[in-house]
Amino acid sequence: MDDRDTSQDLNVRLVMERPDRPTMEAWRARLESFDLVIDAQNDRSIDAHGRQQRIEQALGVGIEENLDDVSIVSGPSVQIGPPSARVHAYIPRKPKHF
Amino acid sequence: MGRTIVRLVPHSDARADVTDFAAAPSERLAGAVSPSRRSMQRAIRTFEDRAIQPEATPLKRLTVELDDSELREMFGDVAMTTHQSATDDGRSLTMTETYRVPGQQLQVPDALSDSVAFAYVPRPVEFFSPNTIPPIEHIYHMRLSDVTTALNALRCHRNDWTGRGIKVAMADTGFMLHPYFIRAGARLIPTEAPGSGPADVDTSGHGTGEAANIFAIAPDCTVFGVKHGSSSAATLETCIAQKPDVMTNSWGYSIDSQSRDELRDNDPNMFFELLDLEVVIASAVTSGITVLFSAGNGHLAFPASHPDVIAVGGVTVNEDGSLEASNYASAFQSKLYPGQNIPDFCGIVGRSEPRPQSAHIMLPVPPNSNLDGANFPSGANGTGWGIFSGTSAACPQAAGVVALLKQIAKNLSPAQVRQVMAARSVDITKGQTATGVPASAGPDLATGAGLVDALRACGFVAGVA
Repeated sequence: MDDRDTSQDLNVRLVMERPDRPTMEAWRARLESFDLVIDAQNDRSIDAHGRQQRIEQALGVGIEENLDDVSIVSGPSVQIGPPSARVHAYIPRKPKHF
Repeated sequence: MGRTIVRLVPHSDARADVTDFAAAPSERLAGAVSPSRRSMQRAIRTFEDRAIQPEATPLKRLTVELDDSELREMFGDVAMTTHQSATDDGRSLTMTETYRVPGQQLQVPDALSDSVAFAYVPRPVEFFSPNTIPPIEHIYHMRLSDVTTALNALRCHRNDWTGRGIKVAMADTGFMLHPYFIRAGARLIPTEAPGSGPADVDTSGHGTGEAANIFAIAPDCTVFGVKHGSSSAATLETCIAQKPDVMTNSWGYSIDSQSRDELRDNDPNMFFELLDLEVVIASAVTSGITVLFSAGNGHLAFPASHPDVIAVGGVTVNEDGSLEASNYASAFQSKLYPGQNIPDFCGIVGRSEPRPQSAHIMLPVPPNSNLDGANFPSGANGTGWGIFSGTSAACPQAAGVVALLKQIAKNLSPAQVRQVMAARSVDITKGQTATGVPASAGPDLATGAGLVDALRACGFVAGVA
């Protein structure tokens, strides 16, 4: 990991419209190659965390903050696997406990 | 012959040097102590070769229970020392427990050195003087036994409808094994979700307290308390992995003020989280799990508004015993799912104003957690109790009723559960909700079908009502 990287730690979740193990395995390898830690994985999703900058590099997109200071992402722009194997990424939001 | 529980932490892919751990910052530790699936599976095979079945946690740690000869075979001659823990500050009941731990570091045997980074014998938790019995506070409120009575569950218990054999999963802030649960014989199993950290650590107090509402209605059910982790979707996946009959959720996102198209345009990140949660909820419901969510405390809450889940709102019990719609609870028409009204029915919830009814139910919490001493006029804290009750309380109460119904008729579908509970609820005709919706005779938007009635619902399903 780049010691000069002072960006914040974030969680990110990647989900597929249809489960596809090879694509998820390929994404796992990519995320790990950017020093992201995999928290959980199944055939349709991956939960990972790491520095914002590394997440941005892995997904090929920028992460911004919305008006509520909540981190948001759209993408990824990186395509892994066949075009039909569509993956969406989002920054999970902390829920309100009622 | 004694039995010893050993917890093993498999190697991470990075193979960090564990001797560096003491000096490592926590963010580095979190990355370094991340056991790989390969190491975990190798360790499991090593035990299975010896006819020992370890249990794997969602975060890929292993727990094994070994008798003395198995412990010797695996870890050599381990000198065990006996300790006794006790707490008594003159205010709470003394709790004493005897436990044995190794006198020296547990050496990982050669057979496991390739797969396990380190192992230890967990020490029993010491309780820092939380009271088994709630303190007296001079404010109008209900105790858990009052909740049992208000939802008409006492006679269910006399009929042996107690939730026995039924599994409930609850996702929340953490679940401490409070002495109240131990004294009651409640089966609460703190369960880690990905990224959650230790499930029995609950700095908020919310999960611990609200879980007590389930046991007030279904004292013999088993509750998997799943601590909220890195994402709500992964947390729900952990709940589903426990193969529960019921899932109860006292949380949500106040996003149902817009259509799906508007949400996609305004907040695409949240839109994809919504899609993801919809898929996970659908997988639970189609596998027969009844899923409940709190309607919110004035929030326009998703996933409560999702058509496949049961949304639970709030009814207040006034000091004179009368019932009215809680002005702290939500009621609304969904814009995300047009035609969907929230809630379906209600549990017990306090009022926002006027005091003193605002905080309604005395609940057990970890001492010095955020909710310890909440709403106590005396200002006392450290007692391990607090008074609070939004729709977070109502939802696990209704989940407790579902557990009773599932004990009577295990094959009830989620749709049938909703139908039976709604048809047998008590109509609420007074009061208005936090969202300004007035209650009236018959099913209405304010309280749905009204206050859940455990006896009437169970009696109907058992064919005796």
